[in-house]
Amino acid sequence: MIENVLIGQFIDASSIFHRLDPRSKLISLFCIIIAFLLIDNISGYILASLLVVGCITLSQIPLRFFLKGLKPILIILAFTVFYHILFTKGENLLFQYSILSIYKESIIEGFSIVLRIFLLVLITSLLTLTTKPLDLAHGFEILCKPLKRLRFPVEQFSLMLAITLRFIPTIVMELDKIIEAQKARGVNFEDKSFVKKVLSYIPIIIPLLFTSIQRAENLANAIDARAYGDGSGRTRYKVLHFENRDYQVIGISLLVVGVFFLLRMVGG
Amino acid sequence: MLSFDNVSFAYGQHLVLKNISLQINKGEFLAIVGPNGSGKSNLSKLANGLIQPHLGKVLVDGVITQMPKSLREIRRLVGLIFQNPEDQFITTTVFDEVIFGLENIGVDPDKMKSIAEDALKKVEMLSYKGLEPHKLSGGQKQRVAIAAILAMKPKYIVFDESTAMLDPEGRQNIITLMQQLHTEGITIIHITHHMEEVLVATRVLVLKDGLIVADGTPASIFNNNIESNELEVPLALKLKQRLRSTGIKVPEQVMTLEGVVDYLWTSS
Repeated sequence: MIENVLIGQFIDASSIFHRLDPRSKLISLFCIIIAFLLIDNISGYILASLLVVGCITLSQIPLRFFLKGLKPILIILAFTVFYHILFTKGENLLFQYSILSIYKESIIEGFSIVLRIFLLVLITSLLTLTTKPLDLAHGFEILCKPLKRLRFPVEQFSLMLAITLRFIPTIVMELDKIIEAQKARGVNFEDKSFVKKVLSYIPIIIPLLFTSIQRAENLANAIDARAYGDGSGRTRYKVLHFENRDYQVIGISLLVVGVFFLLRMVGG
Repeated sequence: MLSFDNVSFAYGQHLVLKNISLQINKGEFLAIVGPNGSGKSNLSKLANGLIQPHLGKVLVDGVITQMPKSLREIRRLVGLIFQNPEDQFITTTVFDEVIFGLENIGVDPDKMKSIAEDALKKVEMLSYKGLEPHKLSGGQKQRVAIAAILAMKPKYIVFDESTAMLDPEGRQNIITLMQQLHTEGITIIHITHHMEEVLVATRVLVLKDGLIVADGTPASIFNNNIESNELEVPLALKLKQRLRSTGIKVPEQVMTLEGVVDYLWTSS
């Protein structure tokens, strides 16, 4: 079971996106999301699609990893299309049957929203596929530093995130052990009936919860014992550096926002 | 010097430590034994300020542990190694684990790498530095925990049943490491249930129901207080006593099986 656990979605390669500072990737992603939300005509969609395809090619990561990210939202996408086709009103009536009427505009709108979500998910996957979770957390921590003024515990939050990632394999191993132990006591996990299946998970969840809480207490002691205080006077080993390429990428992202803004003005 | 002045500690109404006074001098190798619930672990947590005494005070090199300002320095001076190797591994890799403590005490980031590598070299874990915790054995994780403490340049290291969850080989490794650190001038406090491990200490403390019932060298403890404290006598000492009762005069200072065997081979 432990072999199947992938921490985060990071796929190693040596593309430009892998080498970028996590902060510049986060800022750029933010810009691109704004740019994509500005799209309101066909030329915008074509340009955005070209941009996404270009980025995916540059990332050197096989397309299937990107498509994996789309799987869980397929139902939502399908629902969005149907909703728009059935309920949005337009001028050009295509089809009518009793109370059901479908317009040309509603079909276009349904599909363009889906395309927009599609593009947003793909570009976000680009970030998570090319950045290690811990680097992402570190970048996030530095970008969120201003929030410290508002007493938001930025560093503690980042440590919490790191610990969560660290303990995934531990908890999975624990789960394996508990399942084996309960099997040895005669718990049946192979029952087909839904209710019994759900009930059979209770003897797994309760011990897992119990040991996890115990672990949390031990871990808290270990963190305190190693002089982790309130964060004051703490130094960091990893220092993130902005290179030229980071400034370039942020510059390009800002340019993209500008272009999409112009397209909206002109096309609208 | 680590000193406990009339220290009492309680959980609710239950008094765990009763008016304990104890001085641990620099350069000692102190073993603490006693049945479960005798207050051993609380003693270790009091030593670096993880818990505070309800009565009395604990002083580390003259600094009282109740002062929040001095806690960071106290935790640097008194390293604590816990029982469960898994629950004290905070970060995602061996190297990061050693770095964590250095960051907490505010070490200059440029010096961290060499300090961490030196510490890992000392416990023979340098070649594992990129590995994640779930790829290490319990003994290896425990050695990483020791390296993480050593990097912080402590004067005292408390091992709170740190050998209890290890296989015989892992346990022997840790004991050897303790002896090595002791000869290098670090004060060792070893809490254990294994009586053979006590024999390498310079001083033994027997705790029972929150009271110190015996305090002395291993030889004096095992020769005088065995029945009264229900301690299990190590095999080497049992053998020595049987031999002595049959007239073979094995010297008092011989404490290990090897020592007894050597004596039997060399004496005429």
